[in-house]
Order: sequence, then C-alpha cells, then structure tokens
Amino acid sequence: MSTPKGPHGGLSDFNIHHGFIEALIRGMRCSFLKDADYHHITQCENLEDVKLNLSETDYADAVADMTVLTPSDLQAAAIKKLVTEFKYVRTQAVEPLATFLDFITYEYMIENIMLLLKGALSGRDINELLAQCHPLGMFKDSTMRSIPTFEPNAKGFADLYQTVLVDTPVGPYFAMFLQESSNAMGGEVRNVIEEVEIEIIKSSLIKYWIEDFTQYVEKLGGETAEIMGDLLKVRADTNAINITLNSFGTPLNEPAMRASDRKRLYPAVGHLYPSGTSMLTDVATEEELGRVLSLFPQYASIWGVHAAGSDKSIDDAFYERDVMSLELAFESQMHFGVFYAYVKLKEQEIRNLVWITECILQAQKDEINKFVPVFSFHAPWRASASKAR
Amino acid sequence: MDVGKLVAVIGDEDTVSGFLLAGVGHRTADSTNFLIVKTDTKLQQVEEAFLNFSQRDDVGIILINQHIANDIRHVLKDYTQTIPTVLEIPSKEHPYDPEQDYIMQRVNMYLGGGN
Amino acid sequence: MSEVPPTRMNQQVFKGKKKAAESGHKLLKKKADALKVKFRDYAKMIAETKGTMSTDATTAFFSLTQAEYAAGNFKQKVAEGTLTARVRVGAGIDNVAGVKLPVFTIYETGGPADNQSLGLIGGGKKVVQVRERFTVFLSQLIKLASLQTSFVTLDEAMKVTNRRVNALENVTIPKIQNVLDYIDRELDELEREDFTRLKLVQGKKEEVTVNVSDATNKMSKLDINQDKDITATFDAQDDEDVVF
Repeated sequence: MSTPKGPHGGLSDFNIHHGFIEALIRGMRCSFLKDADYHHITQCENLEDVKLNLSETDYADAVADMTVLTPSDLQAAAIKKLVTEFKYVRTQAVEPLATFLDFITYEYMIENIMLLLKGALSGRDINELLAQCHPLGMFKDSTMRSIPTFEPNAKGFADLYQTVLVDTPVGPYFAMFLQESSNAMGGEVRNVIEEVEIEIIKSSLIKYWIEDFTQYVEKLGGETAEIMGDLLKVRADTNAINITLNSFGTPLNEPAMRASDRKRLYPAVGHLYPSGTSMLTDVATEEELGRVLSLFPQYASIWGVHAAGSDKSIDDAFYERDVMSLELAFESQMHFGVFYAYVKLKEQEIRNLVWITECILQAQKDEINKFVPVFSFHAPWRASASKAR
Repeated sequence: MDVGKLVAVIGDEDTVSGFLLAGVGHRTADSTNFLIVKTDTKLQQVEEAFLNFSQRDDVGIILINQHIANDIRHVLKDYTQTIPTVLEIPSKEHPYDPEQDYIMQRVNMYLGGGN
Repeated sequence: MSEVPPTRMNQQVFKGKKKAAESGHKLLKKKADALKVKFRDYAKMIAETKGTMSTDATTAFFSLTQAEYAAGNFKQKVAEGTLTARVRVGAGIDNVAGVKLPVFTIYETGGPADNQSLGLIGGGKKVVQVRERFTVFLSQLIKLASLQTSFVTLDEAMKVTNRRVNALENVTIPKIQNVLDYIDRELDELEREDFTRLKLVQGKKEEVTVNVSDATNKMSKLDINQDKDITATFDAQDDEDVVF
C-alpha cells in the first residue's frame, strides 16, 4: 500500500481517504447510553430489570441470549460488542489509519502478553489463560494457535518467548524493556520476568507504547497530531502521576529505587516531561507530590480532589477529565483521535455498566451514581459551560 | 516450615482475589493453598481440593464460599476433624444464610431452644 | 455385688466409694454447668460475629468492585507469580474448666506483600483499600474460626461431661448404694442371726442354770440328809481366807 506524502491527519485529504469510516464511527455515537438510560438502569431493583432496560438500548443483542445477567457476563458481552464494532471499522480502514487503529490494540496486547508470560511461568493451563485475554488485544490467528502448543516448563517458556512473542507487534517494546533491565538483572529473559513484578513490566511496556504512539501520531501531523497528541500527552502525565502516587508505601518509593526504577516508568512525553517528571523523581510523600503538581494548573485541580479527601478519589477525577477530553476529541473532525476516543469512551461506558450492576447486585444503592456517564448533559463541565452562556 | 499455619481458600474469583490481596496466598513448587471456583470448574475438582486441604497439616483454617460448600455438602458432612477448621463465608453474589451453616444450626438450637 | 463379701470392712470401703462418687458427681456437675455457661457465651458470640461478618464481607467485596472500577481488571493478576503467605494463623490453647480449646491467632510474618504494584497506573489506592478491607474481614474470620472450633470442642466436652454426670448419677452411685444396702442387709441379717443365736445360747444357759439349781436344790435336799458330813463338802479353796 502506498503511503501518501504530507500530513495525513489533516483537513486537506482526510475525507478522501477516511471519510467513510469517520462517518461510520460518528454513526455509532448514538449507541452510547443516554442520560435517560442510565437513569432507568440505576433505578432497577435487580439485574433482571437491568436486562430488560438494556434490551431497549444498543446492548439489546448483547444481552438477548443471557438467561441470567451477571456483571462479569455483561462486561464480557459488552467488550465483545465493542470488539466487533472495532474490527468492522478496522477492516474498512486504509493506511495510515489502519496502523493507527492497530496502535490502539497494542495496549491490550501488552496486557495479554503479560498475562500469558506470567501465567505460563507459574504453570497455568495456557488455554485457560487465553480465555482470559482481552479480545481487543488478540494476536494474529497463527500466533494464537501456536501459543497453546508450548510445554508448560522452562524450555517451553523460553521457546514461547523467543519464537512467538518477539514477533508480535508489542515484541519490540518487550525487547526494549529486557535490554534495559538485563543490565541490572543478568540478562536471562526468564529471570527478568520472574523477578520483576508484572505491573512494573506492564507499566514499562505501556510507557514505550505511549512514546511510540506519540511518535507515530506526530509523524502523521495535521489535526491528528494536535488532538491525538494531546490525548496521549495527558495520558502520559496521568500515568506518571499515578505511578508516583501509587508507589508510596511500596519498595518503588525507596530512595535508591526512585531514581533508577521509578523514573524509568515515566513516559518521555507529555506536558510534565521533562521538567515535571524530573521533579517527580524526588517526590517521596503525598505532600511533595502535591507541591510539584501545584505548578501544573491542569493537574492541580485533580490533585485537589485527592487532597480534599472526599469520597471522590483521584481515579474518579482522572476519569472525569478523560471523559471530557475524549468527548471533545470525538466531536471534532478531520483527525484520527475519534477512533481512539470511541474505544476509550466505550470502555468507560462498560465500566459504568459493571459498576451499576455490581452496585445493584451488592445492594449498594448509595454508591450507584458514582460513575462517569458518557456524553451526559449533566457532566459538570458541560453544565457550567451552558450556565456561562 | 515456618511457624503458623496457612489459611486455605476455596471460592469464586472475587473471594480468592480478595484474600490473596490480604496476604494469605501461598504457592510452592507443587501446590497452592487456594482454588478459584468458576462456573466451569468441576465438582470433583472442588472435592479434591477440599480433601487435599483438610489433610494437609500446614493448613489451619479452610475458608469456603457458602454456595460452594452447599455443592460439596456430602463431603463436608463426613468431615469431623476440628483442625483444620472449615468456615463457611458469604460471597459477593450469595449473601450469607445462617440456615445452611451446620454450626449456626447448632448455635441456634442452643440459643433459640431456650435450654 | 454378690461377689462383695458383706463385711464391715467392705462396708467401710464402699461408704468411702460412695462419698468419692458423690463429690465427683458434684464437681462434674459444676464443670458441666461451667461448660454450659461458656458454651452459651460462645454460641452467642458466634451468632454475633457471624452477623458482623456479613457486613464485613459486604464492605470487603464492595471495595473490590471499587478497585475494579478504578484499576481495571486486576483480579486475574492477583493469583500470578510467586506467593508467600504473609498472614498465617498461630494455634494457641485456651483452658475452660479443664477443657483445652484450640485458639487461632492471626500471625503476620511481616514479609513484603505479593504483587505490591497492582494498580500502579491507576487505582492503586483502591487496591490498597481492598487489602485493608479483606484483612479486616480475614481477622474477623480467624476470630470466628477460633470460636467455632471452641464451640465444637466444648460441645464434645460437654457431651462427655454430661455423660459422666449421668453415669455417676444413674449408674455408679446407685450401684454403690445397692452394694451398701446389700451389705447393710446382710450385716443386719447376721446381727439378727447372732441375736437369735445368743438368745438361744442364753436360753440354753438359763435352762442349764435352772437345771443346775434344780440339781443343787435336790442336792441340798440331799445335803440335809447328809448334813452331818459337812466337812465332806468343804473345800478349803472355796472360801476366802478369813483374815482377822
């Protein structure tokens, strides 16, 4: 496939190449649950009612053949629906959008590869592990088929890594991580995976992915570089802040680890990079983190939510902010960010559904409204904007 | 062998994950002290896990979700040892029902029976 | 009982036995009562703890839901990697009225937590919360496990004690009593026999004395006739020496 020259993510030729799928994905906007739907669902007394209510939404087919609705089944079905939609879009896409869409799936692939490696190492049944993988991050069919053929022992494990996983799209990230770690760990792949905690490896891989993705987006140029670039930057910052915050109380916060291991997890992109992340390196307590973040207005308010100690956590604040920027990204035109925004917003919606159903199941009615609705007219930023007008 | 006995868990994914986070999990080269029971887990596996845990002398307490305990009630009925102690616990989806707990039946007999 | 020879000696022995059995019965009864009180306490505590356990469980499970919302699906990662039990139970012994009750105490090895970095990219705080909630739940359960084992052990001990009390009350003591009664009876019987025998002997003796006196009378009558020979009946040793 020939790649056209010049910026691709821009006004000039966007509609020629990608107009059709953009239209497709815009059409899918109506599949999001509306305020009224959320209202109905949260009023339900049991999951049977939820199912009934969902059958009047876009999730009708997904829940149709469920005899009993459970949060995990609903989640699985909703993800499946999202994957089907995504795959449909992906088949229509031409370069460079196709690569862009693939990039979106790499995040899930990282998750899966970690699951497989770690699971295989502790001797779990690989078929069982495959069933747990995120469907959006599935590897090529040929790869998937060959994974279960490896023996669940040391040799099979090495083979699995060397012959299969290296060739996956996220293999390079993994290689980078290993190269960086092997100096410290003595080189053996197996050792590294055994010694380093799964979440830390994952964080490293995600960091490489964000950096790589950003680079790609910048190469595309145009509106995509601007909008998608910003989304990724914010994401990078969010990760850096979260990593710092969540490292408190773990070995990662020890002075020696801060400069070596923790710093390595901060993505080398984002609004915080480089001055902010270098400041984060030395942060050891929440107060210090707060002081650093107060220098960055866009994060100071989010930190305020955490520092205030209300029942809203920093995660909720990040979600709220994410939903806002993703909605804005979705609404603007002539760029690839819509697709990323669509996937992420759908993810939020699935999270909401799981949250609501879990609350109903566990009879936690007081908590049920603590989710972030997507495209809601009651979203704080929208409400305040319309008031200002 | 360190001091102290292990707490074994037989339960659904939520229960087991929770207790593992609390720090009861123990994995050695050839055994674990927990079993995650999913919808496709065979009854036989559960029975075997229970018998295995109850015969290990490094296990002090066996926690088991009540709805799973009900499935292997026939095995539990024959279990007479005091240690390891079998404790029936609620799960996320199945709130605790004292009626089904053998110990609670005895307790209620004593408290309710006036005696 | 029949093999017990009904002697005074045995009566004494069995009286001792009865006394021992009765004081034993009293003591056991006391123990049974003490156990019963404890047992009821435990039963109450179990009922209470099981009640709070449900709420603890609810909050624990809900914290898991919250963490899942914030950190994504992390559950499958929890069971991965090397795991070393950080929380164990120590087994101690509590003593209630001479019954040894196993007691579990929560015992933390102080080792580092497994998979500490869960939720590093988001939701880590919530995961920490899950750890805390489940630790609370777990300690509650360990308490309950102690109560429950104690309950079962007490139940068993109570059954044994009650059986002993009943055995003493309904079997051992009556048996001893029977033996005692038997001995009493036999001794009475013996006494009565003795009495009659003595009576008989006395009767005989009296008869004999009557006969003898008759004979002497006769003799004296005879003597009158033979009075002259007073010296013939004189026995020098018959009389006290007359001392002047």
